[in-house]
Amino acid sequence: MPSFTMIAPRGDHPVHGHFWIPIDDENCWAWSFDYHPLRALTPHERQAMIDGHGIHVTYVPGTYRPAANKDNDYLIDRAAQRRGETYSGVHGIAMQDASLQESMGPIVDRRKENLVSTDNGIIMARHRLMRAARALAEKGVMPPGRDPAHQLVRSAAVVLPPDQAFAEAAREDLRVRPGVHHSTV
Amino acid sequence: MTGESARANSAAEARFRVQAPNSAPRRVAVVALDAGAAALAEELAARDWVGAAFWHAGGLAARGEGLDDFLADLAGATRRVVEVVAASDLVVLLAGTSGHGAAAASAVGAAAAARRVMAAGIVLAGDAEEAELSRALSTLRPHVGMLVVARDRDYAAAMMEALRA
Repeated sequence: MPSFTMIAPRGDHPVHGHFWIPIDDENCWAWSFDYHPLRALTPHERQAMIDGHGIHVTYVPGTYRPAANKDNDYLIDRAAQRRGETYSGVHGIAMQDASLQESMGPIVDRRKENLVSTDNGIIMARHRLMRAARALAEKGVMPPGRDPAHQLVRSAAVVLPPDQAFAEAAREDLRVRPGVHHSTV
Repeated sequence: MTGESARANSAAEARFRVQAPNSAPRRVAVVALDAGAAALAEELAARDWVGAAFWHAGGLAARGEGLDDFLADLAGATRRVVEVVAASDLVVLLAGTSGHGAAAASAVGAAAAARRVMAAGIVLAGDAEEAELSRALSTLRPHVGMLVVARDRDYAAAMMEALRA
């Protein structure tokens, strides 16, 4: 089911993403990962993760809680905003994203959203989740995506001619191919 | 001391949030391009919508005479393409996999582009083979800003509900 993100790669950089794992009705664990399909991460790449760069964060020592969190207003730096050094005042894309997601509150009334037709990815993901939930509740049908063969997916960065459907033209790029570099630009 | 963000997140504070929708309902024109899409358009029209109107493009597709052509509503009344588009915030072109309706898609897409109205396409793919699906996508792709392959027949309704049509 769509509870994972895998960001399209660039160059020889590792691939990043998140696992969004619900733990009750109002909370989920967000695990963040980096990997490279052909090699171990370099010490520099590992240190960048530990230092909270990219999609990663630093933590309250001894916990898995981000150091910037809602109890300290995500360490928002109003002075840096005034100086024009940062737009949001929150350091790093990870907490910029997380602060917006978390500050919506635990359960959001989606009827008040202002989606547009280019939000079809969101609409589609919710549609699939709802169908799967209803099928499980009403007919006992187990959700898709549990077969390991269906989990052999990759994100990819490819440039296709405008007349080609990506699902077909990039089919091989979007599958795990052991020993083959991820498709990137 | 509880941070401002933590307080704003609490149930006690949530009651101060604006409870109204943050945008007006959208006027959506759904244009069925072929017979399969027309059948779905009639099903959709039977539901309750705030601002959705449903049109057939069958006659326009046959004549293919450009922007002066007319669309027909489900009761058979006709209206110029440009007027339908001008009265809409979003145009949804609904197509099966017949590959028919290229002229209609072109006319509606051109009218939408001229008036800066977003045009989205939904291809009702069902169990269609890839070649058939590719042909249907090629028919719509040049004329819409967003193109969706819907394997589930109920996706069009889900999309319209999400867009507050």
